Amino acid sequence: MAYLEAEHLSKRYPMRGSKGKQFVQAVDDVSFSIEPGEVLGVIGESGCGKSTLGRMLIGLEDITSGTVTYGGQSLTDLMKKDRKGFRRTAQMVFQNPFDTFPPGETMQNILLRVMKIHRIGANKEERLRKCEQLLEEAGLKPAKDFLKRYSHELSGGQLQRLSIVRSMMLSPKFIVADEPVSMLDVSVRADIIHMLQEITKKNDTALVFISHDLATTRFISDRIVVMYLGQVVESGQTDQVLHHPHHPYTKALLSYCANIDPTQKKEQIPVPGEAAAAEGERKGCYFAPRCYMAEDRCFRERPKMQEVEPGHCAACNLIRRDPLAGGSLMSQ
Amino acid sequence: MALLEIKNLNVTYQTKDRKIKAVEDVSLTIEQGAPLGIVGESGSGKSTLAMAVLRMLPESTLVNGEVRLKGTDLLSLSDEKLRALRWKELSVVFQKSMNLLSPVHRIDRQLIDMYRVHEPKAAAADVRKILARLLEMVNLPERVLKSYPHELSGGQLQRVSIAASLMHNPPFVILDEATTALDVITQGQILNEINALREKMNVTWMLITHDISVVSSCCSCVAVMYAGRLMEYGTTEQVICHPGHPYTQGLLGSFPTLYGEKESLQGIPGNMPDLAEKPDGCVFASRCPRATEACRKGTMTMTDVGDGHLTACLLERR
Repeated sequence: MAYLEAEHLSKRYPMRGSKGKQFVQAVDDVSFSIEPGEVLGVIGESGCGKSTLGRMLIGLEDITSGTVTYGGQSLTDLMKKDRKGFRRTAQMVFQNPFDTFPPGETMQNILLRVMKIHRIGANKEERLRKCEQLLEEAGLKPAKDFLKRYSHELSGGQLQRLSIVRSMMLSPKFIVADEPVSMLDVSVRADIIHMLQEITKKNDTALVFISHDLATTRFISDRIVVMYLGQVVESGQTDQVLHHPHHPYTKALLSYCANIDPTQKKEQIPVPGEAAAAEGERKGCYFAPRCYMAEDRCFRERPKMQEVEPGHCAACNLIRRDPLAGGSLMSQ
Repeated sequence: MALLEIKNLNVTYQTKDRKIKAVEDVSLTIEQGAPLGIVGESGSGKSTLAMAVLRMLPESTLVNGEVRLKGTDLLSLSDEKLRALRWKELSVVFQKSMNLLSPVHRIDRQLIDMYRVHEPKAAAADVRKILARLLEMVNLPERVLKSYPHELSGGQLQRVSIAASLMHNPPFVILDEATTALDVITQGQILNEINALREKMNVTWMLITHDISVVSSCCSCVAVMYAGRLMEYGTTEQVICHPGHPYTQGLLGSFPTLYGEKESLQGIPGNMPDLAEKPDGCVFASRCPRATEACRKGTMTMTDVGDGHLTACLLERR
């Protein structure tokens, strides 16, 4: 059974001075579910609402409409009943590891405080022992040395490891990782990804991995959802979506995706203009103004999510009539 | 004659009690029409190298070596002569282009001011024509000139600063992480425009980035830097398809791809050494899977492994 379910989630931010009449629709009717131990990748460009979505899932941002349920219980109830208890269930790993820790304190203080607040371990010695054990498991050896340091004395990769250790300390059932590797160097990204993967599989923790980088997301996610201007445009098993995309936006995104081999040149799908601001009530398909095959009806009709193969859905009115269908992107 | 020639360049930042060797003994040449990409992780000295070429480092910094642009030594030039060269002979595009533009003036006014630094008598209408033509080359409509910076998106601002860097038609431009903060599609589009400009404006780039894919799409040569040292140099194909240095191999192995095996993703264990207390021998030895005793003692020099493909790996030197 699904552990976490999001149904028709929406988030509107009112615009200043409009007395609530005008708004920015950051997240627009998003639904999905996650099994225990599953990793869901959320992909999109800046401003597509992926971070807002992540923050809503763990109650850092109020929900405008829609519901989030954890194992059958609604998020709002859980927060009302026992906010601290809920924090033990759901945790977050942030993008910038340099801003995650207060600069004036040692790692030991920071990490022990988490345990103290949540009453883990009987006394300081026990907490310290557990802390050291967790650090060693995360490859931060010798742990005693790391615990004495301040955040400025550690590298980005080490800080991100500590950030993950801190989130996992309370053995949460669900984690949101918002661009956890985008600030890090390529050579340490792989290790952080492996660490997240291992830790979630071992503890059966569900993970939402938010990223703009398709290739990185591919390595960690079981399933992927692609977002554009607040909506999910495509979802499915990772390699199904990335190797056989059905939505024009996913195809365009993939055609611009980084390739390190200079001898392979990919045909890029033209995407004119820029993503429009997600303001006010909108009609039709949000991607239509930039789409290579948009027709009149795309500007009028909101496309519905259709299943194109088992477990793989896309929201496009013209899905069966795509000139680029048939795996032409898969020429390599 | 080479367009840009860097010979034995050393840059050392000085603080009260430490000397940080950010760039050590780097030699490179860039030929006209053969753009060079400099790849490296944070702290590898790639931006310091660019700032040294541009002479934009703080005065307390020790810089020695030679940097010749079309034969003129930039490091020994007087401030006045250097000012005359900037924009005309070399210019730069930074990562955060919003910092190039003032938020309270329209774009056209700012760009015309910039243009007049070198052509004080130019008529506004003429400059506007030149600017409109430049903006067209980076796919921006002319009305951008009448906008304020906050009305433009990140990608549009970056295009404005690329256009600005070309206003005096310099033969050499440094792009310091110029596409890093942009979205996937915007980055792809700007890289295409950069490639097109190379032919249209006859300009050669030095492109600094941490993203190997950017280099492979628009540079003909690559230099890989690590801990202030040049590790490998060659054509894009030589370095990326047949990497000779274990560091380059590690870097390429940690780059996730869309189609490869998922198990193949491997990081490089360990951390970069402290640049104030660099170890003897190869700077990468402490993280290198193939390092031997000799690597921890020898001196780093570049070895030619064939057709101008240079590597700093001591194991290649026999």
